[in-house]
Amino acid sequence: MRGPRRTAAVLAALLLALGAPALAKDDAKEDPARLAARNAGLAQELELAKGDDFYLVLDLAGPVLRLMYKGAVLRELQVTSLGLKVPEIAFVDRGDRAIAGRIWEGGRLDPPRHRERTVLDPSQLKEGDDPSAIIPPTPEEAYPAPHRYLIRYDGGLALEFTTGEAAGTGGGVFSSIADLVRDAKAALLPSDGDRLRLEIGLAPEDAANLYRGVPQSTRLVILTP
Amino acid sequence: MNDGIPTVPRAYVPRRSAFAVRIAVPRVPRRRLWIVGGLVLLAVVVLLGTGYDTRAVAPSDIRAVVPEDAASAPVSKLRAENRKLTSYLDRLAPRGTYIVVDRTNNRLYLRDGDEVRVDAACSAGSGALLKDTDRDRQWVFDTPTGRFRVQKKIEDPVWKKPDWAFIEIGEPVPRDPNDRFEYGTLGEYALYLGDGYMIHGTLYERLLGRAVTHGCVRLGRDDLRKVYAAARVGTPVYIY
Repeated sequence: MRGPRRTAAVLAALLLALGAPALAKDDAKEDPARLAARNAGLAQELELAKGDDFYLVLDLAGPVLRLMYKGAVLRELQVTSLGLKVPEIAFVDRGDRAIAGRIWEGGRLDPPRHRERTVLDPSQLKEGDDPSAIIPPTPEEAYPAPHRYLIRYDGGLALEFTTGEAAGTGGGVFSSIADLVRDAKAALLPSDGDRLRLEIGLAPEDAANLYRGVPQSTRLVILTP
Repeated sequence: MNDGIPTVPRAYVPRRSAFAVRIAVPRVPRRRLWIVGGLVLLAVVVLLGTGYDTRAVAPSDIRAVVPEDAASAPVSKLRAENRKLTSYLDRLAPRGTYIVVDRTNNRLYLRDGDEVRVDAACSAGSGALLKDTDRDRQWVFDTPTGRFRVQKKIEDPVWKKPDWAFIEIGEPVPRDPNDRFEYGTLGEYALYLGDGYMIHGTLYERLLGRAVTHGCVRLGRDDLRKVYAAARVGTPVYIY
């Protein structure tokens, strides 16, 4: 019995001796700050997955934007570009860039998506009226996506999306001027403003569908690569 | 003839008119002009430099809020933590096939992990409000949101029409329950989600992509066949 045990011990020691430098090399390659940041994001994502709210996960490793609920991916949208929009007053930067690894609450659309309910009153029906003959609008007609929109979170982060003129409404020079004035106002008034805007490039159709479909008061977590 | 003085064509000679407007230009001291000019320039700088400055960033440029103890932990510990968190998240994710309904865009997705196997136009609840003034009742035709499960798979489903189906078209609610059954309107199959809600077929395929239902989710025949074949009792259905 002693023979095989000794052989096993020798083999284990040999494997350890061979494996240790490889592990140490891996450790050296891995950036602890990067790993710690990723873990901080994953821990927050886990908390969101255990909750009862819809949430967005911006995974910068993709980069992809996921709409999720209880750990299930509902929609996954490929991010084509990223930009930081930093508030400035007279060219002085007021931005705060530590935005990943924490939960952002209370996401609300700006401009908000309005829903009008049709009220059906059968007492108003006339002879020959058929309610099923009414053709309701398409989602694009019912909820036209603006040229540009934000999902704003409590605490000062906003995600900014552009739907493109083809899919959205309100593009053009006047819209751009209105955007500039709105941005200047938001940068000047701390109560109104965003500490940082993350400009997320999506396919125009994806951005427009997200505007129409994103649930109210979503939460957000950003995962670093 | 004119002693070297250039002549001005008659048309260009300014004439005093009865309608001439006199503009009074106040004399501003030069020092005050400098101050006003400076203020205008400052206003322009402030206006141009106020707003949001866009900077293209790489994903790695975005910083995270990291707990202090994690920032100083060894890599091996951080890696173990990473594996643990990833494994927890994997356990929460649905396994195998699941259904997602986007009720605003009227789309249904049949997903299997990262893969979208069916992306179909559907019809979700119209959101209309129906009032029964006679008996002081009302119904809101919304498709509910959240997580559901397929409770039953039904072939050739028969619709037992609820009260609102009669009230909506101004007909009296029948006393005989047999008068409530309607055959063929729900298509070939139905996936029952509970509380009266189903994913089923429709006679009105031209309305797919529009919110027209009373809360159920309608699918076209071909897509319904695929979804019905893939779904099992217990398959999760997520509606947002």
